[in-house]
Amino acid sequence: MSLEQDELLSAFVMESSENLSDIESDLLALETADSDLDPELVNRVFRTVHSMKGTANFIGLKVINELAHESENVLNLIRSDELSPTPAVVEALLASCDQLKAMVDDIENSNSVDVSALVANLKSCISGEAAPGATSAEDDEGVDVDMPNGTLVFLDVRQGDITCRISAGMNVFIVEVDLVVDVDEKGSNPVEFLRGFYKIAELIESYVDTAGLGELHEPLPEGIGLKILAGTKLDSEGFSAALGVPQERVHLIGTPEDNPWTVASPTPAVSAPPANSGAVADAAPRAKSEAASGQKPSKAKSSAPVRRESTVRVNVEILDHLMNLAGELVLARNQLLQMKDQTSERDIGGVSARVDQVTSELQDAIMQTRMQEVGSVFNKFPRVVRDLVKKLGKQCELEVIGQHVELDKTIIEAIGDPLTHLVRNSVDHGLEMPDVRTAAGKDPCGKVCLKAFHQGGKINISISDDGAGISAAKLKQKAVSKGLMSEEKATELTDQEAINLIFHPGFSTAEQVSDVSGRGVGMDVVRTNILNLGGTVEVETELGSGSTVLIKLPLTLAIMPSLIVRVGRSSFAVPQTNINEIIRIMSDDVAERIKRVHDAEVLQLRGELMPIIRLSDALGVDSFYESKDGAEASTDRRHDLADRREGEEHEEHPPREDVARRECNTSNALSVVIVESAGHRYGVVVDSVDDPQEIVVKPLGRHLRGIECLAGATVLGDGSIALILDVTGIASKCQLRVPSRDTDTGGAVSTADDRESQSLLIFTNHPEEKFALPASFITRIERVTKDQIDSVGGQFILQYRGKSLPLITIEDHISARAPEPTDPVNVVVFSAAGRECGVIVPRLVDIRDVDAEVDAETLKEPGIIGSIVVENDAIRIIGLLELAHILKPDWFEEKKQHAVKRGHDIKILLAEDSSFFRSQMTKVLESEGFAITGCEDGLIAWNTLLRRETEFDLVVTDIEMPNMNGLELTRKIKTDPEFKHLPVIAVTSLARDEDIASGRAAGVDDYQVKMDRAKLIASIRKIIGDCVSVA
Amino acid sequence: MNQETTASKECIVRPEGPITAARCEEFRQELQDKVDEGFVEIAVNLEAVDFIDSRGLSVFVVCHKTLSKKKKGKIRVFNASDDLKKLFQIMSLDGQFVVE
Amino acid sequence: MSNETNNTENVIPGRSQFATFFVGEFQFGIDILAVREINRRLDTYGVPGAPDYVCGVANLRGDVVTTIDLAKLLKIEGDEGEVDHGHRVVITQSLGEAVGLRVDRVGDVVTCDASDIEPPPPNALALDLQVLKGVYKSDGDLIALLDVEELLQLDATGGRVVEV
Repeated sequence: MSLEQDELLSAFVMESSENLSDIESDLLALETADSDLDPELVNRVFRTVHSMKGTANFIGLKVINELAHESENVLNLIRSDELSPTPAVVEALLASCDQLKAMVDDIENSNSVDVSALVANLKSCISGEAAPGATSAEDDEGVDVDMPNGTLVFLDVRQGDITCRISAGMNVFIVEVDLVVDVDEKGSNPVEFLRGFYKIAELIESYVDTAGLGELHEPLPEGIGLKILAGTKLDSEGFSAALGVPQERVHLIGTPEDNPWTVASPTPAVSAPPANSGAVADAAPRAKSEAASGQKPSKAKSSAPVRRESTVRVNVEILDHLMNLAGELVLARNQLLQMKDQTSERDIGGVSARVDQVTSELQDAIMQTRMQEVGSVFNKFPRVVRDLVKKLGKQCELEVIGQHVELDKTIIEAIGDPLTHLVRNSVDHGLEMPDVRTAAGKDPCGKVCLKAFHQGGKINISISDDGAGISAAKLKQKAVSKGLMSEEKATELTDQEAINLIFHPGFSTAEQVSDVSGRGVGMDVVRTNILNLGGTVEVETELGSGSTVLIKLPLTLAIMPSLIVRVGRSSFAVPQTNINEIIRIMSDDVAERIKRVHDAEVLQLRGELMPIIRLSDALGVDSFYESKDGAEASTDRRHDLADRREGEEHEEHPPREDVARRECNTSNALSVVIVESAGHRYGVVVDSVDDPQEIVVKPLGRHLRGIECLAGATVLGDGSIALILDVTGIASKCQLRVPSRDTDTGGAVSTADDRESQSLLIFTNHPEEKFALPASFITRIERVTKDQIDSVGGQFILQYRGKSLPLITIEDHISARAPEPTDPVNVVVFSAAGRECGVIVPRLVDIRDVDAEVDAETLKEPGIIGSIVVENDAIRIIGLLELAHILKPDWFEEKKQHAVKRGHDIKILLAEDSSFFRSQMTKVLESEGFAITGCEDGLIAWNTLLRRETEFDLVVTDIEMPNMNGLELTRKIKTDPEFKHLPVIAVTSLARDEDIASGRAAGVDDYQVKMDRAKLIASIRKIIGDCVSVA
Repeated sequence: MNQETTASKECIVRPEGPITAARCEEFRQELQDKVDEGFVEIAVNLEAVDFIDSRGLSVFVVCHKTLSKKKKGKIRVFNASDDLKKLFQIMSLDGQFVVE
Repeated sequence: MSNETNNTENVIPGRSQFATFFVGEFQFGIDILAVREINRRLDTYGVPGAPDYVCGVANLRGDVVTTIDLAKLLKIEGDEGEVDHGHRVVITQSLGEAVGLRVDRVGDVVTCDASDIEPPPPNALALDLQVLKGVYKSDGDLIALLDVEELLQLDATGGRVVEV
């Protein structure tokens, strides 16, 4: 072929490959579309096939042309509505598509491929024949069927009987069952056996083999051999198990995957029938044998070399950028050459810096060209799942999220096989059969979700299913029975350790290793492959609910915008996506804005108390640096602190002296980076903050992969290395507020606490009595000296910033012992009824998140909302509003008057299942002057509305409630003609974008995060205000 | 088991009760007797038989083998329950086992 | 020799070259094919939270390479006294990743026949026998030959999955 033709051919191959994979997804969509068929879909496929046909014809690819032509005919009829895309038709088109792909892959041999069966099939679609298959003459031909070892078993079987099963997606087996040994001796009987057989298979032919049996006058035989030619959707193992016949006697002789249109087997099984046997169609023997031999699998997917270069698609902008950089480099190089003669050090410095920089940029830009969307790997899975599901007789819906996430090309190429194995695993082992699912109360159609997303500086890919989950107990048994460990060892394993056993080589979790998922491609191989890519893989599972496999891959060769920060002599990179803001606190303000509560430090930021950590402490080990010339390995200890804390968590509690000393020594200015991830914000204290930089992410080697706080490393401009921080990992290590499970992992198993967690400030009044204040109420914490407090008329007043702040001493209002007076004094300032108030807290103990349940009954008294048990201590939670009310009842009266609208109180209906929150919110809102009716469930709230005893002005509702949740309540309200005018505010701890979107979709007027009182009140006022002005 | 004879080379056998491993020897003997008497066609009336196990089946099979060796020899069954009918059908002994 | 049995598979066929180096009082050798560079000096940056046998990471022409303190990994006493003189790093390549081994000093490259390699004496250095492939006697020195792949699997988080 000429050079031009060569190029034309390569171009055709490349373009067709892409087109064909697009066609496949379109055809799959066509199959499931039904009535709302998008005409454009069909048109698209038609056009593609049409143009492929044209080019093929031009180049001389006759067979491709022929097949494309027939396919085009079918598609044409579909798009003109003359033919309906039934599953059989789509199956025919898909088969043709597969064959076209195979021919394009092996383009040189494409002209010698026999596509007559496919063509015939496509034609039959048009002529309206019901069963896809060979033409009727062929169907009636008799064929002999051998076993894989060549033994002839069935003579003269009607070919159509076999092929119609195969094209219906069944496997065809020869089963040799001994009625005595396999049936009777196992406690069954022949009739039973048959019944069982018919449940799972179709009988094509069968007979009892009398050869080798004796005669009537002899003792009865010990066994009766029955040979069955059967078609079933099950695979070898499944069929063998279901029948109770050992696998050696279940022989697979035909399967849809080999070649849809023949009875294929490793050795030629199809041969012309012997001359003297029964009814056969009229075709001449020669023609028959030709037809028969022509139908041998053409093995289009053979090992002939695929002549296709490995290519990459690159965004044109990147290419332009590369061109520019190359240009710059040329200029800089020229300058250098010129300077070679003039040795001026200063000039060289500048130019070499320029060359250096441009080179780096060039390197980065080139690396960017290697990034590919992960969708290119994901897009084959719909077909994989569809075919698998058909074969297994299950039902499954595949959801794919995050196709646009980009990964380096090498990773994309390597991740395909492991993912395929995992997806097949989910469908094969994870999902139950539809009837089992229904019996378990699940939707018979299982769900598998394949998701790619960025998190923690890595690319995450999760495969989750809502199937049966993995049994830790079974795995342990398996491990013991396989001799991998002793029984004692097995019982010692935690559940998660047992689950991780699936990664052990040679460990099969299925009862029979199903060849659907492939032997020899165990989870251990998957894990090794992923480790080699620099990633990690974990499995989470819940019996009965499903499993999730989570793969984390480094953003190799990815460029990520980040902020470089320094601690001691080390540099770290913080991913820009995690950064909220950067704060610099001047030394004078430090003491005021940063409060120490035992081990935890908090920052006061715009009325919020935010936990902060010092990066040096969080990482545990202080920076270590050894230079190449062996200069002293310096461990950069923080000399300004007496703190000797070295390793892991805050297990040692430093004595109080250190606390005091630490506070006094925070006299330097602080740089705090406010970061956020997985919904939580906290501040990171560092020594200094550098400029933002785009860095190239390098993975950490396998010895360092497990470190929680780090997500990778990068080489900075000066050649030094900066470690990339994993913001979520740091939060978790420091036990900052972290959600119990990241529910972004594709909707599987969540064992998140249903109890809502509360941030509480814990203090002691008197050494043995602990109290707590809800942190959300606290505006700030002040530390004042005794002389700032006056006693006026029996009440303590704090003179503070020109104002008088009434102070509450707890022991005056509730049963508590009086504390030892301290100096200085801690005062927690909060606002009530719009004014500020303080409560004296003698000794601060901690600020922490507590998700224990609040007991609102015992230890109750005015001023105490409830109690909670933390680490065996009973802590009473103080009701600040109640105390303020007791102290200053007149404030609340004034407020109430302001809340009147049109002559009556504003009435709010509150739906909240947690009694604790309900009472808190009620008090808060009542203190603002509203009249509250509280309900502990959406359903009760709705019924209250229906009773029409009160005319409500507004509804405030929680989302998560039993019986009827907030969204349902909202929908009911908004669709009811009588109540739809009622504004609804949702108050909840779920604040992800999806939740807010669902809320709005349900009709919520405003969405508030729990316990941000000020905002809630403002929102209520605004909405009521709006209503007033409208009316 | 009672039997009827007709004036032809075919005899009819009418077993009663299940034909199982425990009882099939009796049945076999009965059939053997018929063969010994010179019958080459045997018809088995299964209206009183509700159950046959594999051993029971084996009797039919070997009888068929024996008879088919003789010219025009065959064994057939009739009045079989649906289950048993299916069973005999799938055993399709060389296509010559007739089931009614 | 009768105690050859379990180590025969570790013996290297043919003729091989080993890069050797010293850690403490011992001399080790590793297959030259697994060595990317030797006699390299690198700036090492500490990694908080790393296992104790990891010195840190180093910049090898743009790649971030883990550096392992061989003395700590093999639980041998290194030459503590010579800290100031600067250690050397042997860069090895394994499973697609470059890993640096920090040693006291570098020795010669040694060539030998397979027949010259003997199985290691049992419990030599209390090392995992899979790591120690054999020993080679050269001019009165005993060189312990290490399997790089096994060495890097030791205690590495990616290595042994379940302790049986």
